[in-house]
Amino acid sequence: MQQVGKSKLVILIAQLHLWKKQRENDMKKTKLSLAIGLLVAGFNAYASDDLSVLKAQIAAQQAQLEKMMQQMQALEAKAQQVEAKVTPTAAPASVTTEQKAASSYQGSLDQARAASRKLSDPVKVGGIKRNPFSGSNMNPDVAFILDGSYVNRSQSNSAYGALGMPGFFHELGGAHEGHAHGGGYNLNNGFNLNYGELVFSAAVDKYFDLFAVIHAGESGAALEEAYANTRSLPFNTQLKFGKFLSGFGRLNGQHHHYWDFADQPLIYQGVFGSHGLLEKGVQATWLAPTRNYLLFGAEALQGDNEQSFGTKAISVKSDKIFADKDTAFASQVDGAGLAVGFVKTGFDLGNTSWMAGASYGAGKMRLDHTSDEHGPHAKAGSVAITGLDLTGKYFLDATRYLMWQSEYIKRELTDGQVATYPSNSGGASDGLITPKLSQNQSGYYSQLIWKFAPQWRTGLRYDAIDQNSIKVAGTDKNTPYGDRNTVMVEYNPTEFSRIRLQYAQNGAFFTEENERKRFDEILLQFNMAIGAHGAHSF
Amino acid sequence: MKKMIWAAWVALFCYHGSANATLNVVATYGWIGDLVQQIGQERVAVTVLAQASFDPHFVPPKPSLAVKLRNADLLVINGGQLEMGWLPPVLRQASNARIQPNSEGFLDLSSLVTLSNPRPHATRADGDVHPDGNPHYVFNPDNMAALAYGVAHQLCHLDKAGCGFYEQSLARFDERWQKEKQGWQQRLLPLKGKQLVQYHESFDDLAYWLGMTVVANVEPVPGVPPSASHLEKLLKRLADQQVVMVIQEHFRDREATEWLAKQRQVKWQVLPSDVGATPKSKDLFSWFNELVERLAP
Repeated sequence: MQQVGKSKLVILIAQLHLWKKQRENDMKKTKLSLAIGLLVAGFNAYASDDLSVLKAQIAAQQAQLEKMMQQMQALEAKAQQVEAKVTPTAAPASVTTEQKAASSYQGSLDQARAASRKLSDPVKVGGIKRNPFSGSNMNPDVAFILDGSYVNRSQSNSAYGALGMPGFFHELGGAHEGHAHGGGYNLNNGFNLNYGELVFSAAVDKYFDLFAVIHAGESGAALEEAYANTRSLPFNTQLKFGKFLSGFGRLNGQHHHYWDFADQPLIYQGVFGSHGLLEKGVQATWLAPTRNYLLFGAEALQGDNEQSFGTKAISVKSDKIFADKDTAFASQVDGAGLAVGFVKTGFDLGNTSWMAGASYGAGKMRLDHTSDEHGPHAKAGSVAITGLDLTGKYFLDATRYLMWQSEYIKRELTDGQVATYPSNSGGASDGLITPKLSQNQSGYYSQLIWKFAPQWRTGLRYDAIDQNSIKVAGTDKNTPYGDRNTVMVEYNPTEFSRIRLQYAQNGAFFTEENERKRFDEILLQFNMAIGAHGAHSF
Repeated sequence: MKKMIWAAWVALFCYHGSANATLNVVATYGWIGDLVQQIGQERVAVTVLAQASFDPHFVPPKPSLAVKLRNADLLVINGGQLEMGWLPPVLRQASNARIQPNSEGFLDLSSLVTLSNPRPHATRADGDVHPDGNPHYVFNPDNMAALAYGVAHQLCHLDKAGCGFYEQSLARFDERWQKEKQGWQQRLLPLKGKQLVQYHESFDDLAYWLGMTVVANVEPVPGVPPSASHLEKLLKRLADQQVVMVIQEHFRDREATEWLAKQRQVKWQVLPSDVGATPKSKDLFSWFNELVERLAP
């Protein structure tokens, strides 16, 4: 409407200008004819020699001329007035800031409209100034995450480091010949620097996103994760490839700094180790076209995990007398050795969001601990891991919730064999390969988290191993197992910093001699993030 | 039993699409959803992600959000980093190539208006600030014409057959908005030149539109709740200011602003921060009506 009115006015101005020009031309003509008239009149006067007549004629003509000049000035003024009314640039000089701002709003609107006169124009308005989700002008987004703790437990460092979970891992503090045992973080009484993590992420191009995590301890760093994700595949599918945390279970895909407790549940620690199921490979997911969230995923992974899988061939010294003679124990796993599949669903019931998942992974175990100081051993066989998870999250408002999360994981080893001998330094011919090994192990955790204020959370967790059947040649080894109680309270000044106090009663760890060591543990954890760190998912 | 399981399966997961509408539009907040609805009318099926009664900065990420995004033809966001804390992961999990940023089905409304108070050099020590500028631009009704135009243009772009239709409803919406806006302006004219205190920087643009001055925020820095000692200091600092009201959004704790208003014996008002936040705020017009009613002297 406004625009139409304006264009009409523009036409009006143009017409006015044209008319003005015509009038000017007319005036010129008038002036010319006037001059000619004067000349003729003067000639006539001379000719007639009648001065009084001439004077009267000149006076009359001068009056006419003045009248015409006045008319012309008036016309010009009128034209200028009209122009001032319709041209916004001809605003009075004393414009208040408010008026200026108002006209800039009007200006931005006009710009938007001018960018495309018709709605059907193919030009896109309202693009994005820059990536609206980028936290910095840098490309890629970079973040650094620091995790440290102060620990006080009723066990000396050396006694704690010698503990293990029979049938899963031994020597929490031990790390030798390239393999770390189950331990990981918060190992020492007093101060611990668990890790510093550099996280990079950005869109590679229209087709891929790339994420990389460089995980550093005090003395060394490793490329923990590096994977690309497709961003434009059709039919709600996605492909991921590189090294990444498997989609198995609920907790496995989450990073340590996002967990609700400072440590993993026992079953995770036992089955996947401190870094979880972190593998090289490829993942495909499909979000099914259903009313509720239903995600299917499949992964082909290398199977390097040291707790449950492995790829390298193992040879053992089967007879201590012929210590140099190695006997092939298990062949190399050639190619991708681990297949994982999962299905996840989620639905809302009122203010409660439910999430459930089922996961399955199958591969080969190649557990080579033949170089251990105490009780060297090796295990091989086929492993199948099953996981079930269920989470309910009741939102009191946007920042307060009550969440109950539980997971059950079962690991089965079949067609297995085990090699044991008491000591690497001994000379006795005790080496023994037993071809018939089967393991049936499972555990779970159940935790309740209450975010009772925007900056505060508290939670309790019960986690346990509930089955630990290890049969060698049909004989159950009666391997012991235990459980743990944990409570925590945390203060999050902002979403970038966290201070967590955690207390645990641990009854799940045993000495090398399978003797249970109960102990208490108080842990104060600090976790901070700087830089552009993306939001976390559900 | 088998039949029952099958029935449960169908009930839980059975596909349902919006049958009649031409475009599936997902809006992050209620007011955006209503703007799209006003322009698109029966040609669009609008889904809103955020719950209006919640803080727009912290929308809980849920699997259901990914489902809503999965089949969308167009995603319209507030922008200005308001959705940064929750939208990117669910958008990624929706695996919908059509509505990713930089694609045809993505509209960032903040790009259509001039954001006030951009702070490109802010650090996190300054609190939860948005470097692009204040993202609560919807509280300045002068911005609505540009936003409505942007939505109409985008709808026309994706649904060519409906261009004429969108043009008509845009003109209708514009006319009604301008008329109502004048009424609101008249109603709140007595507030011009007065001073107010707000909880969070949500109402900067509203104050600007009304010609009011924001003399203080209750939050020490954006996103950090005030402590008791901070409130005492704030009260002292305001001693020689002629504040006429203390305002805040509906979803926040109310003790701090209520206490402050009581101490100063001035008007205390809780404002709905989005369409749908209160029973009366059904659409953009009734939302602004309610805002004006609550602000009016």
